Amino acid sequence: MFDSLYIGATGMVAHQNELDAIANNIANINTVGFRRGVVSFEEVSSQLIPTALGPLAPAAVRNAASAQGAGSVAQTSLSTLAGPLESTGQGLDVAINGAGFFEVLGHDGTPAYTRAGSLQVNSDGLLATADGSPLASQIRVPADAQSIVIGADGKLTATLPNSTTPVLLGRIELVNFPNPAALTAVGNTQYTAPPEAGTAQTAAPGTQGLGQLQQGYLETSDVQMTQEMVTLMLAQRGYELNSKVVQAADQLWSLVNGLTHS
Amino acid sequence: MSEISNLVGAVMGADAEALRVAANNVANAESTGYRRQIEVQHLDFSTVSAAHQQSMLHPPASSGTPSSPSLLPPTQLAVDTRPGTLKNTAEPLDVAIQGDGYFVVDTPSGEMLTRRGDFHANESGVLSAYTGDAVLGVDGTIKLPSGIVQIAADGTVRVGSATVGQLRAVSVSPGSQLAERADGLLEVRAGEQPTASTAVQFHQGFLETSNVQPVQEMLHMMQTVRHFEAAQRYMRAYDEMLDKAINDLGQI
Repeated sequence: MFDSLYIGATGMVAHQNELDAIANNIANINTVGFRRGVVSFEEVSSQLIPTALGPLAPAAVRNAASAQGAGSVAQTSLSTLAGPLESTGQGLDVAINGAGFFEVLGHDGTPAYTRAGSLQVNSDGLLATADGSPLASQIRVPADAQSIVIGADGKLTATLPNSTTPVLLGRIELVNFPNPAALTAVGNTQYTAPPEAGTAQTAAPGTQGLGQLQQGYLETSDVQMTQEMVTLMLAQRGYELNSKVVQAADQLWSLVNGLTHS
Repeated sequence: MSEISNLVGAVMGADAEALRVAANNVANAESTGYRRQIEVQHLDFSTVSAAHQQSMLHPPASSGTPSSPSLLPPTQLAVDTRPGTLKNTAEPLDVAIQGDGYFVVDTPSGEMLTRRGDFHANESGVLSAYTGDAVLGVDGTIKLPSGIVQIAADGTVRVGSATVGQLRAVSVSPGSQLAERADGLLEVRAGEQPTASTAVQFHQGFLETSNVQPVQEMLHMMQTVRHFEAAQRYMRAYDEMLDKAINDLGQI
């Protein structure tokens, strides 16, 4: 009886977390380069109920130990599916047609990874993402550079005023991980790599399983409205169902309390 | 004299246990590959009551877990092995087994089985299950180089044009129970030897959902609560009867 109350509560917390993930996905349905959070439910043993419930679990639950698995938790990982590419015609918009991430230097100087390829030249004259984080490839673009071309292999060429032939300014490299689903979102559609993601492998676009670059395109978000709505409905109903379990356990308690009359 | 109260107490304990099982199923209604638990109670309450009286007279040396709410012997749990439906996720490393079979996972305490096919590549590129342990193929672990992974219906794993391994599915003899570990992996009981599955198909981009049916669990829960209520009414009636016998019988 005691157990059922808290098992039901883990189910409610898990569905609440799922709802949070759906809200985040829907809010980012038009965010360039956004990767959907995928929620997976996992069975946890009753010893882990205090962890699953967090501050909701009273001390007494920590001592309840039964052998069978009990309760569930929701875990969010990153979708590994790319969103569709959209033509923008903008010269510095670049999409990755396949696997891989751009490596940028985040605001605190540590590497971060992104697929949002709406590039610009930042105040230091370096090629950077929309929020000003420079690419790790450190490509300096002179202010008077014209007709900038980014090749499928990442080579960036431009015509400078005093010459007619294009010059090579640098090469955009891509990074991939053995386990990209473990990347952690840190805002600005940037991700950082925890140790579970594995060692970053840097290579030129189009090699080692990495995608090619496509200039003039952007990768849209991979969130699909219908899918999110269906998941939303399920999460809501799942929450409701688990709350019924808590109610039933409560009813049992109330009956026990009514065993002695007056 | 206390036999009736013991009996009714035992019934209420069994109901509380039934609700715990239903709670567990409902909490895992969306857990990938979860198989519904069924409580098996073939109880003869007269023996339960006698056993309980025995234990009251001769309490065991160690008093066991204080949290155990039940006077009954622990409920036997069986696993409903009917498969769940397959859900399309389009993720390249999600694999579902169609047919009778389990994936084999290599853990520090031996080979374990699971139906959960939400795999990922770990930090060194080895195909791993949700617990982080390596998934065993026909020729051991499967290392995935970077590239597009394709898994055929027979389990052959290809990256680009190179074959890097083949997934393995095993089955256990019908009727043998698998023990569930705390992390949800299934352990084969000692003496059992799983055999290679025949006639299973692997489906890339699919996951098996749980086989919990909300309606069924809801009905079970309603029934349990009402049954508990009936037991409580009996207990109160018995209490009233004792009250009459003790307080009213001698009065003129």
